[in-house]
Amino acid sequence: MHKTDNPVDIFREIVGDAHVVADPDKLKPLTVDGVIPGLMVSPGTIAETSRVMAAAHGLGLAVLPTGSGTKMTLGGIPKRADVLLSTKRMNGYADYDIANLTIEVECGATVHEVQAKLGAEGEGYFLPLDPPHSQGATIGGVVATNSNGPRRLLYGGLRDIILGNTAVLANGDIVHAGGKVMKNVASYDLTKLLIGSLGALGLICRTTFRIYLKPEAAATLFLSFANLKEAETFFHKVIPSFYYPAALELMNAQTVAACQGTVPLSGAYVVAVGLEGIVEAVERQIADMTEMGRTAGALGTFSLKGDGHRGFWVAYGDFTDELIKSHPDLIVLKSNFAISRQTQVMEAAAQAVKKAGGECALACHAGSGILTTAILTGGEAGVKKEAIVKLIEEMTGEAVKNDGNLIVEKAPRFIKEKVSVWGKIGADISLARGLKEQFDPTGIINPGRYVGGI
Amino acid sequence: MEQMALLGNDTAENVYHCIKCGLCSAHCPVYREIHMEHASPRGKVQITKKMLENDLSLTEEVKKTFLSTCLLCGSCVANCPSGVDQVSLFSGVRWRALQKYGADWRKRAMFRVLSSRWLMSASAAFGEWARRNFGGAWIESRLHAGAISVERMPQLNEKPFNEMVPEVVLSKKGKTNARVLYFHGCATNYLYGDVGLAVVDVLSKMGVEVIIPKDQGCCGLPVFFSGERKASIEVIRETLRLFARDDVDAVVIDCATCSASLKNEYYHILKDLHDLGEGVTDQELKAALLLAEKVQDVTLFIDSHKEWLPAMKAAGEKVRVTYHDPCHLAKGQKVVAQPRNLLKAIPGVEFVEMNGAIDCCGGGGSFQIDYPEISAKITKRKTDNIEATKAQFCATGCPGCSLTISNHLDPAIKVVHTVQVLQQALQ
Amino acid sequence: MEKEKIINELEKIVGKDDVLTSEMELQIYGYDASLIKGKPDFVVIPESAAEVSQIARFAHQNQILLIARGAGTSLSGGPVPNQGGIVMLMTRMNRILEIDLENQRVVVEPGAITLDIKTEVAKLGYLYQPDPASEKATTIGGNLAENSGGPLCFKYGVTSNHVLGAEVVLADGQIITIGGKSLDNPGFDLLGVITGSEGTLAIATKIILRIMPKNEAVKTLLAIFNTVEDGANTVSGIVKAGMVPATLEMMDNLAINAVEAFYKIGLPIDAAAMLLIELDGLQDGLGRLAEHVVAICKANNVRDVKLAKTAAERDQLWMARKGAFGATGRLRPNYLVNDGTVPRTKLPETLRRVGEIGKKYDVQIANVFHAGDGNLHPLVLFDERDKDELARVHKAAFEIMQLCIEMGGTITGEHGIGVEKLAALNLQFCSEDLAALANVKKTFDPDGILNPGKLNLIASEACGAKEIAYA
Repeated sequence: MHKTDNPVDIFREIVGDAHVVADPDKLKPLTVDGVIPGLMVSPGTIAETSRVMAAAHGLGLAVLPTGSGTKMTLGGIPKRADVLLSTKRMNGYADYDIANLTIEVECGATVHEVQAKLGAEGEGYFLPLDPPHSQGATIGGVVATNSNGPRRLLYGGLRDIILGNTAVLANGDIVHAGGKVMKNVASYDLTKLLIGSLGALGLICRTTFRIYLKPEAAATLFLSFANLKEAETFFHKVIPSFYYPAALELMNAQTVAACQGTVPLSGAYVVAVGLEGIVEAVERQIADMTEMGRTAGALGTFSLKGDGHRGFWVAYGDFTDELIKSHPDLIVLKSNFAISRQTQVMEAAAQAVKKAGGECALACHAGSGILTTAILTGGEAGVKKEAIVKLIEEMTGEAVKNDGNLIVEKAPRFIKEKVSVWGKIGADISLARGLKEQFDPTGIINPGRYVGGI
Repeated sequence: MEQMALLGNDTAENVYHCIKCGLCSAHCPVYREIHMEHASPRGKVQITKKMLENDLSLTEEVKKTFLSTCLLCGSCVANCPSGVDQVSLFSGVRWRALQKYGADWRKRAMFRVLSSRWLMSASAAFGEWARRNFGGAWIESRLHAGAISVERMPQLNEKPFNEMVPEVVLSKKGKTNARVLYFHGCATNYLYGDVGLAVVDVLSKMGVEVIIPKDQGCCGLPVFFSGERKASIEVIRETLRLFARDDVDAVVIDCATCSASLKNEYYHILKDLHDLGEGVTDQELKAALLLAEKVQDVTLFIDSHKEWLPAMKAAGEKVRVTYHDPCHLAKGQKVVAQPRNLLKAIPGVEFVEMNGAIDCCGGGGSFQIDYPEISAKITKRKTDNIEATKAQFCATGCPGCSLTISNHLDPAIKVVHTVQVLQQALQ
Repeated sequence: MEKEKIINELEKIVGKDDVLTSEMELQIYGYDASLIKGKPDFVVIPESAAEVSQIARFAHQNQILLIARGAGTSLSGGPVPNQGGIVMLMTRMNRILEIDLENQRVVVEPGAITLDIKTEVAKLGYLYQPDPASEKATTIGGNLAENSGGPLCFKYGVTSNHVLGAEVVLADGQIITIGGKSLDNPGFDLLGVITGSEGTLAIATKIILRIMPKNEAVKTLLAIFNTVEDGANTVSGIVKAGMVPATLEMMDNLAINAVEAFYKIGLPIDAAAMLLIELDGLQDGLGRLAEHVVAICKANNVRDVKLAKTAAERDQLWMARKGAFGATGRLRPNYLVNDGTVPRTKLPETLRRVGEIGKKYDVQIANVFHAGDGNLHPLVLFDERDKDELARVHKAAFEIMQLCIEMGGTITGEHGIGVEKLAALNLQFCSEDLAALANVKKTFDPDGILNPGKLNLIASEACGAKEIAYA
């Protein structure tokens, strides 16, 4: 039990004075959709996190977990934001078993620093994870937002590479889901349930991933196309083939421009094929896909290796960050749909934005059926406020029509108030509400931010 | 019935090897159509086990299950990793079911006929006379025996095959390479005389002396698979008397069911009856083993001695031939490659493998008559597969399969015995 | 409600012929491929999602237990109705509804046989990857319920990684659709939690699976070792070299003998261990990888290593692996198969201690396992009629599970908790974990109607779980 009833003092007692921020001036820049948090608490261990959560629970305080804040714009407007729980201090390893190709890493570590550490290990290892926001994205944030990158095409998404999650529930309970072995069917798969749950069921503190030895060879093949039809022809050759590229991306000119000069071709549309594997396989794919591209009508082809290749993927992952520099009110949408519809959905997005009087940067994981649409607002190229809401609804409808959905990853508060940021709500929302009621009955973690306002 | 042991000791013990893995259901042609546990081999093995342990009694429902949802094709036996012998178990249960509930009077009459050579000849002669005098396209087109269309049944032989050949057919080469006994079975004797002639022709051209005992009768399988174990003892004893001989190189058989019967079932049935005190002697068991050792399917025999075959001429235009594996040959005796070897070696033949060659034809003896619906479904899968090969001929090694398949197949495709194809090539 | 009335109501839903109530029928729907036994009160056979929904609604309204069943090949008692109730046989809902190549999906009914699905998409040049050993008999719905694995899991993942959408019936009869053909649908991964839930949360009536184009080339190798250690070290070596073979399967001497007795493919019956390795991918460089594998085998004292030269040879090697469990039925009539998984580096020590456990309880243990992902299958052999031996077998099995936890692994890699491993849940989970797991059950099926007594101790206790009927 705590000596006082004052939350600040309670938290200071748990994490130490230095790790509780109560100064309103310092908290102002940390607003989430315009809601200023009451406090920021930074626990250093999972045990501290548990106590912090339990304390908040006891006091009925709403907790908003945050890593680097790269995805804090995701989700609905928080009903309350009493405690901003920063995970940044929890950036160590609970288990580091290179021989077994698994690591259990704490939520506050950034993907970047994990990759750097693994890369320096022995012959060089890596986590098959390449989410956007290369510098800032934390492991916990990536897992909580199901933030997959282009390489999920070959390695699988988060639900395919995560072997276990340890979470702190709303009442402070520490729960272990999964483990460090690939095959694990001991009771319900909470590991998967936690992925992409935005903390609604619990704060993911540790995650066990499978890792790989770095591939022998890697390269990127770029192809430029004058129109989507030809790009589609190229995809129709590659996707059903026995070539297994690591990534297959489709960009429009605006996205290319936002890649900071790392794209060696220009055109209305540029396809970037990421290739990884053994030397012979990579060389063959470069050769064969160049040919496929040519017959499909590619205007130009170019392949990059080494730093050029690596540099592109970093810039590509950060393209929205680059655009935000010149367009602070950038709106970012992510839609998912049946794979073969990628060019249609992309075309529909471009048309819809154009109709609304604006421009957008489009980046599509063409082999997985996922499109990121960054709508440039503000200034002459900007789309009007009223048109945005209609645009988002239209694009959501387009995604749903193609067996998918759409989420708003970033938008100003006044837009979020008017649209469904989690897209079309399905009949399974009743189950989702039921789970929230069981795991967080008083609704203290991220209240109002998840699907259906959970 | 509860006082009688359900099955002989060895058979009963075998039940315990079923680990319920359920893999047998993947191979059962009946389960494939019905998708229910009682229609799977595992289900029946477990029912058998529960009856042995007195958790279930042999009800009418059990009897019906064992008769109507099992062809005794042996696909399960061939694929059970644990070595359960479902065919022996199930025929044992059928036996006890028959004893408890009796057989259909028509079945009983049929068994009487099959077990007596004299009665068989008489019936065949009568049948032939009746067909000649009272048959005719219109009547026959309306007659069906279960799934079998009478119109499409083969004609009876003018006279039994047995009477078309001498008891001993000498080698047609200068020397005698081997001496064999030929067990021709009922089907060849009364329906497929041409097959018998082809066997004799090919073997004698190979320099083999063929002995065809005049007194031979039914192999007994239709009888004891339906459960008539007592009646079957007489049949078995007769066959042993004529065929369990040490002084021949082999006992060749052109019917897969007959060869499976003599090779696999005789010993097992006699052993069960012996263990249950039904008067079978050790001597008879020995004879059954000897016979089992000597029995060879005719294509197996020919393929094992193919160097004795005369040279075959290259033909003009090739004919397309496919092959259906009779269950009792492929699964019961593992004779799969040999008929194909022979067909492929014939210059005039373009051999084409069908999908599901090893799948059951759906006949199952009287199964197709008693349970036409399910039988026809299984047969249709087979005829579809044959027709898909665009073959002109479908060769096989069992008159039961020939009858079933030819009854439902596109009439343009001729169903023949492998040996008949060989015979053609040797002319 | 009295029995007669229940039968009447069920007959109204599925028709008279599809409600089974005879003693014979009830007894044969009371088992699966494990040693767990039970007996249903009724068996119904639905042919559509609508019928499944009506049955579930009826069961829910009248608080009658409901257990879905596929082919009954579960190794942990999954579909065994050990508390009675209605067994709902799903095998007639077995159609492949749609093969959508351009979206790399296949839509199937839950009773479709896994191998049939694979065969159909293979005709079009595509693969559905998960390959449980029972694939020719098992149903895809059963695979979903258990989150089945198989040898190819090391590279391609388990069933859950290939289920992208489903139509399911909930405990109260509601039919809802979760997920679809696309990836990354927003919201909780309900599909992820339903997969592997052993029929205790929902019943699938339609499943959307991921399929992928066939690889250009495949190389299958068989390596024979004089010690289990050498085999395990070879596995480590291959993985350490960065290779991700599609399969890395191992069998010990006892298993080799059982397999050879049935399949007769010329396996050396005096070998201590045998490794089946399969590499797939583009043709280019695959030969070099295969040579590297051979070199690693040789560096670990391999007795012999050969490459399958034809598709037929490859099929033969696989056939032997897939029939391995059943083949042990030739050594002793019964087996209990453990399913613990340990980190790969702990395999040699784990196997050694499994051997010691076998000696301690005087039971024979054959080992067949997925060496690549550390999923062991110690097959503890016995004769069920020897009650004393059976008791020793259960003790040995429990200790093996404890061992796997000690090694940092899990008590079940792919066969599920079912009934068989309920007692071991406490080895792997603390009370907070169990409470969290119970939250899931309470959300989906608060009344405990669906497959009670399975997978989750707290939930089963809430239903007043009866004593488990063992062999």
